Amino acid sequence: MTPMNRSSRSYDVAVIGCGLAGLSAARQCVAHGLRTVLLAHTPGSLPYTSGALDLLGVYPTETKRFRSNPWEALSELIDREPTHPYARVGLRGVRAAIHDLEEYLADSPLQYRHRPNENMAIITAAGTVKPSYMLPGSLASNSLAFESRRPTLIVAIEGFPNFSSEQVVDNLRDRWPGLRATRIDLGQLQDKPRRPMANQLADELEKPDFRARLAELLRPSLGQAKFLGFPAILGHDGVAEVCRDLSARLDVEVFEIPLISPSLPGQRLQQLMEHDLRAAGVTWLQGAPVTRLEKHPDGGLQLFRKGKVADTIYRADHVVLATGRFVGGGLEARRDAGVCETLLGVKIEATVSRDDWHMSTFLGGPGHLINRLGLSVDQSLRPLKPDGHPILPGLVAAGGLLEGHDWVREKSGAGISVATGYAAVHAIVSSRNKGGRGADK
Amino acid sequence: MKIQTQVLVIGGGLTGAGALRDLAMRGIDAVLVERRDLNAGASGANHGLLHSGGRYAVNDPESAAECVRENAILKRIASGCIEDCGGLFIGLPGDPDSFAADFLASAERIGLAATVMDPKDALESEPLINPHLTAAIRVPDASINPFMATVANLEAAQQLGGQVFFETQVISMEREGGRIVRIEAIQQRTGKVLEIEADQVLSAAGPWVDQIGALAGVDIPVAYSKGSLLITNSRLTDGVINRLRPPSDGDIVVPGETVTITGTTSIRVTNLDHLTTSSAEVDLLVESASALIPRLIDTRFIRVYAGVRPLVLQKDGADDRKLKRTFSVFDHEDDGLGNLATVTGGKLTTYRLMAEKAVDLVSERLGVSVQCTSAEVPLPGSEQDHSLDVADRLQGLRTPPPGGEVLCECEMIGRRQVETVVDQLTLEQHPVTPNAIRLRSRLGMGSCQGGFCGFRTIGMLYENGVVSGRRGNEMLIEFLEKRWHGIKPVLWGDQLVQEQLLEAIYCGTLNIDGAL
Ligand SMILES: Cc1cc2nc3c(=O)[nH]c(=O)nc-3n(C[C@H](O)[C@H](O)[C@H](O)COP(=O)(O)OP(=O)(O)OC[C@H]3O[C@@H](n4cnc5c(N)ncnc54)[C@H](O)[C@@H]3O)c2cc1C
Ligand SMILES: Cc1cc2nc3c(=O)[nH]c(=O)nc-3n(C[C@H](O)[C@H](O)[C@H](O)COP(=O)(O)OP(=O)(O)OC[C@H]3O[C@@H](n4cnc5c(N)ncnc54)[C@H](O)[C@@H]3O)c2cc1C
Repeated sequence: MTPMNRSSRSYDVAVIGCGLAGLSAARQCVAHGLRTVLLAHTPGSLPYTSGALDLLGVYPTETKRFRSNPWEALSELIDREPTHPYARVGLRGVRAAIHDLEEYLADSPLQYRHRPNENMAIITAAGTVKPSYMLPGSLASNSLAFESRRPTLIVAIEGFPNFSSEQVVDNLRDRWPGLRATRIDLGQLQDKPRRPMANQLADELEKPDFRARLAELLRPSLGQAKFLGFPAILGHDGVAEVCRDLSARLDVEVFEIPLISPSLPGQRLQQLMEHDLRAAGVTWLQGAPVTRLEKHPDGGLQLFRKGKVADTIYRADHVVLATGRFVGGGLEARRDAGVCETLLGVKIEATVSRDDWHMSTFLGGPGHLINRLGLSVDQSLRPLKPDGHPILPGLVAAGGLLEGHDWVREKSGAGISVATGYAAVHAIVSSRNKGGRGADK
Repeated sequence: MKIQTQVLVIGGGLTGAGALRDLAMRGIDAVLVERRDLNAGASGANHGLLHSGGRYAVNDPESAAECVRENAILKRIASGCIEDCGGLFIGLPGDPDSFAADFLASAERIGLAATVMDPKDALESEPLINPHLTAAIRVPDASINPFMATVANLEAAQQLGGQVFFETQVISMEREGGRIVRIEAIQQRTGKVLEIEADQVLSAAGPWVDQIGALAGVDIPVAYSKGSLLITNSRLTDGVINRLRPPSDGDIVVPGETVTITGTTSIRVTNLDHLTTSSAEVDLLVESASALIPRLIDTRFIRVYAGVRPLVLQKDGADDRKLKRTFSVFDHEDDGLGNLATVTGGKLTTYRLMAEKAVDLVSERLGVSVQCTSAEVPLPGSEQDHSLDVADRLQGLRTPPPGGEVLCECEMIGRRQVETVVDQLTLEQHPVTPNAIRLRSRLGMGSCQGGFCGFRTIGMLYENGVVSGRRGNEMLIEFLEKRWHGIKPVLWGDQLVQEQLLEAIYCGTLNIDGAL
C-alpha cells in the first residue's frame, strides 16, 4: 500500500495506546505543552478494570504477603528487583507520578480518594477482599463500610447474572456479622422491563425519578443498615450524584462493589481522561492500529496508521509505546515462535519453552513466568535490542508491556502504568532540553 | 449403609451405563458404583466418533465389522445423542496408493457402505479440507455426544429400578470359597463405607479393570495407551475427516456440535490418574491435523484432554495401534471366581454390544433367560427418529434461551436450564458442583471454558441456597484449577489472551488468589 498523505501530520510526541499508561503519558505531554497525538486501536484494558487503582498490594509474591503500606513494600521491591518497571522509574519518580494523579483525580467528578501511606481494602462481587490504593468515591465508601463492619445491606438485582448478594454475604459473614443480603426486582420500576444489563441499568439510575422509586422499593428492607452496597452499576459519569442522592433519600451511605468485566468504574475513568485530554488539545485517533513504526527520512519517527484504502503517516519527534500486554495487543504469544512485541516485531524471549510459560496451577504462587516477560528497557525507558542499544532513537515505552513485573500477583497494575507513563514523558522532556530530537539527535 | 443386589456394576462410563440398562431391561436388580462422576474415564475423554468401521477396515476387520453393525443400531436407538454428519477418508499426495484399494475391498467384505468420490466433489462438500487431496471415500461416520449417551442409558436403567451411586469407589472385595461375598465402596464426600452384597459383580472399569481385578485377587494384564485430543473454538467441517492411510497420530478430525476435535496420539503410560499433554504432543496434533484441514494451523484451540485406552495384552511388543481394538469379556472361572466378570477394551461405538455380551454371561450365571433387547428399544430422548440437529442448535446459540438470564454466553445456556440440572442432581443426592453441571449441560464447554459462566453459576447456587458459607468460592477455585489443566497446553494466540483476561479478573479485580 502506498501512503497517500505525507502532509503536516507532525507532532512533538505520538502516544500509541489509550490504556492507563498511554493516558498518563498523554497527560504529561499536555502538562509540558507538547503537541501530542494519541493513536489507539481499542479502548485497552481500562474498561475491564475495577476502577480501583492499585499501587502495590502484595510483596513478595512468593509468600502472597499483603502489605498495608505500599511505599514501604515499594522500596523493598526497588532494592531487590532492578529490572522491575518501578525500579526503572525509581522511588522518587513513582511518588511524583502517583501524587500528580492523586491531585487530578481527587478534584475530578469521580472523586478519587486515598490514604497517604496505606492501602485500603474493598469487598468484591466474589465476597473476597482486595487491597488497593486509590479509589473512586463509590469504592472509597465500600472500603469504609468494610473497615467499620457496621450493619450493611448488599443489594442484588433480579435477573442480573454477574452479582449475587448471597455470595458476597456468605463469604464475609464470619468477619462481618451485620452484613445482610437482599434482592430487588427492578422490572416493576421500569416502563418496559428488559433483561437487566449493566449499561442500561446505569442509564436508568442516572434518572432522579427512577432513583426515587428505587429508594421506596428498598426502604422496607433497610432495617439497621448504615451502609448499602450495590453492584458497580450506579450510573455513568454521574455516579457521585447517584450515590449522594440515594444516600440522602435513605439516610445510609451507598457504595459500589466491583464486578467481573466489563466494569463501569473502569469505563468512567477512561471516559473522564479521554474527555480531559481532548479538551486539552490532544489529537485523539482511536479505532485503527498502528502497523509500522520506523525512522522518518527527515528526522524523528514515522508511524503508519491503518486506513481503509491506504495507511496514513504521522511524524513525531518522540514516540511513547504504550500498547499493553496480551489483552491490549502489545505482546503476542505464538505457538511456534515464542513471545513477541507486536509493533516492532521484537522477539521477547528465546530461551523459555512453551511448557514453562505457565505454572501447573492457575492461581498458585509465585505467578506465571509469562507474566514477567516483556519489553526490555533502560533507566530512561528506551526499549533495547539484545545488544543493549536502543531500538529506535526517540522511542520510549510504558505500561504493562515492560518486562520484569507481575502486576496480577503484585496488585500493582495501575501504579506501573501510571508511573512509567509519567516517567517516559519526563525522559522525553529531559532529552529535548538537552537538544535531543528523536532521530536527528 | 448396606446394600443387597443381584448385580453390582463397577464403573460409570458408557459401558457400565449400558450394562446397567441392559440388566434392568432383563428385569435383573442392579446397582452401579462410579468412583467419580459419569464418564470420568475414557468415555469422557475420547474423540466422539461413531465409527463407521472405516478406521479399522484394513488392519482390524473384526473390529470394523462390529462397528458397521453397531453404528447402524445406535443411529436407530440413540439418535438423540448422535449427529449423523457422515465422514470422508481423504488421500493426500505421498499417501500409499494401494491403501484405497485395500480399504474398498475390505469395506465390501464387512458390509461397510463406502463410496468413492471425485476429489472435486469432496472439496465442494467440505471446502476447508486440503485442496491437494488425491482420493476421497465417503462413509457413514457420525458424531456422538458421549455425555448425553451415558446420561440416557443411566436414565433408562433408573426408570426400570437400576440404582446409581456416584463418587463411590470400590476399595475392597472379600472372597470366600470361589465367590466374592462382600464389596466395600467408599463414598468420597462423606468417607462413609457402603457394604454391598451382590450375587454377581461386573467390572466395567475401563483401564482400571486390572485394579479391580487385583482387589479380587485376579490378574488382568492390560497396558495403558494415552491419547490426547484438541478442541477448536469453532466448527470447521460438516462431517468427519479421516486420512486414507494406515492409522497414525493426529489423522482424524471430528465435528462435535459447535466445535471440532482433532486427534489423537497413542502413548504408553503407567499412571492413569495424572495425564498430561506436552507441548511437543500438542504441536504434533496441530501439525498432522492441519495436513487434513490446512486452516487448523492457525485456528484457536480452547482445550486439550487425554484419555486412556486399556489394551488387553495379547502378544508382546506389538505396536499399540496394531493391537486389536475388539473388546474382551473375562468370566474369571479360570481364576476360581464364579461371580466376577470383566468387560473392557472396545470402543464407544461398540459399548452396547460389550454390555450385551457381558450381561449375557452374568444373566446365564444368575439363571435368567430373558433375551437382550437393548438394540431394539430407543433410549430416552431418542424415541422419535430425530437426530441431533445442529442447524437447530446453531440457531439456538443466536437466540437467548427462554427462562431467566443467560449464564453461559458461549453455549447460550440459560439459568432455568441449569436449575433443572441442579434440581436433578439434588434429587439424586449428587454433589452439586460446576463440573457436575458441565457434564450434564454444555455449560463451560465453549471458548471461555467456564471462566465467566463458572462465576455466574456459583452466584446462582448461592442465591438459590444450594451452597453457603465459603463452600461456593472453594468450588469455584477447584473448578478453575481443574479447567486449567486442559487449557495450559493450548495457551498461545487468542486463547492466551482470553486466559490473561480471566487471570486479570480473578486475581486483579477479585484478588481470589490471595484474598485478604
Ligand atoms: C481485566 C482486568 C482487570 C484489571 N483490574 C485492575 C485493578 O483492579 N486494579 C489495577 O490497578 N489494575 C487493574 N488492571 C490492570 C491495569 O489496567 C493495567 O494498567 C493495564 O493492564 C496495563 O495498561 P496499559 O496502558 O499498559 O495497556 P492497555 O490498557 O492494555 O492498553 C493498550 C493500548 O494499546 C493499544 N494498542 C496496542 N497495539 C496497538 C497498535 N499496534 N496500534 C495502536 N494501538 C495499539 C490498545 O488498543 C490499547 O489502547 C486490570 C487489567 C485487566 C485486563
Ligand atoms: C483418546 C481416545 C479416543 C477415543 N476415541 C474414540 C472414538 O472416537 N470413538 C469410539 O467409539 N471410541 C473411542 N475411544 C474408546 C472409548 O472411549 C472407550 O472404549 C470407552 O469410552 C470405554 O468406556 P468404558 O465405560 O468401558 O470405560 P471408561 O469410560 O474408562 O469407564 C471406566 C469407569 O470406571 C470408573 N472406575 C475405575 N475404578 C473404579 C473403582 N474402583 N470404583 C468405581 N468406579 C471405578 C472410572 O472412574 C471410569 O469412569 C477412544 C478412547 C481414547 C482413550
